[in-house]
Amino acid sequence: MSHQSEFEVFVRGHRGEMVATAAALTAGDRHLAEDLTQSALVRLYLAWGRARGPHAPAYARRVLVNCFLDHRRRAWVSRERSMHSVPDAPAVELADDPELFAALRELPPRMRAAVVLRHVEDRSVEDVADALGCSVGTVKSQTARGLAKLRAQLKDAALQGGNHD
Amino acid sequence: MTDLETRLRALRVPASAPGEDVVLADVRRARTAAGRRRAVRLATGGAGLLAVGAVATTVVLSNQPQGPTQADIASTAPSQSGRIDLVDYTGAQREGFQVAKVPDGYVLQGATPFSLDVAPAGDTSSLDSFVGKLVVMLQSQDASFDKTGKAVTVHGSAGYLRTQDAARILEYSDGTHVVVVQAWNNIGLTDDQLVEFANGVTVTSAAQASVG
Repeated sequence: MSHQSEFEVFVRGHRGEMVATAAALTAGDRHLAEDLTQSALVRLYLAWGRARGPHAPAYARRVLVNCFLDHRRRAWVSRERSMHSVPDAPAVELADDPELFAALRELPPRMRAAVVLRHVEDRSVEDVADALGCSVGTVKSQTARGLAKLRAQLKDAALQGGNHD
Repeated sequence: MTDLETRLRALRVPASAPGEDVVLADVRRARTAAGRRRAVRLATGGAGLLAVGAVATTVVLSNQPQGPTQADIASTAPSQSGRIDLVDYTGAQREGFQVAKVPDGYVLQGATPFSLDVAPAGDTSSLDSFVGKLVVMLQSQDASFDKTGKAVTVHGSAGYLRTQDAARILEYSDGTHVVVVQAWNNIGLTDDQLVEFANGVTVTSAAQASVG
């Protein structure tokens, strides 16, 4: 099978999963989730010689997380994203928990990624460490602190009239 | 499992299979990027591994939604030399964001409810391009106040200054809004000058935070 055919098969089989992960990483931003997935797939193709094979999904997850972290670090180069209202939403499905998405948005990017991969995606601590390029201990501390922050955020929201917890 | 963990698990939505047009568009984008990388590699010939690394970085950046080109970054190394003075601004103000100071030779190029572009006089580039400019905007509605970077004081409160790609970003709260001032590195403002500029910024009720 050619390089391109293999990649095409991978996109068919794993793009949906990448978009779902990106939607959680971006705390429900459909447009950014789609942008990040597209960028990650381009990077993946450019590295396909190394990424191909049984470890391709894990490699793609690492690339996607890096795209998310890079995006958060990037300067604004243009006003592409400044608009009064969101244009037509891409077909990215989202869970209906705006309060929790809002709380996730308050977490620093790496902490958010750790919480999402561990508790939304149900990945093992080792897999999360691999995706974030850090130690297992760091993942444990980041997720513990992340959950504590989320609980505090949700408690505040509940005190202000929310109806969860 | 706690209630919070149950709610987090419920955020995971089932992955849906992409349509054929989406798959083909992904493959086309990827092939275009690979072709661009090949072309640049050929053009740079035997410039060595260092050049190949830079090219790879350029290709990756060019496929990101808002990334500057490698040339932008290379030509705009951070400057702390204070090559330029801040002067009092006496011209007409724009709705949304008003300024007390501008870098010498810079003008208010234009504004929208979402941002104010301060650019060298005669700059005819699009208001949508922030390269080489000083830009004032409100933090996006979807983002939180990023309290990372060097702590500074702006409008009597804590602000945070950091370098991102080819620009420095100062983020602070004026008590009502989270304001972002972005200065392209080639302008030559020092950190203190950037803070001084921000202290002269007034956000009016016409300013709006963007979405996304």
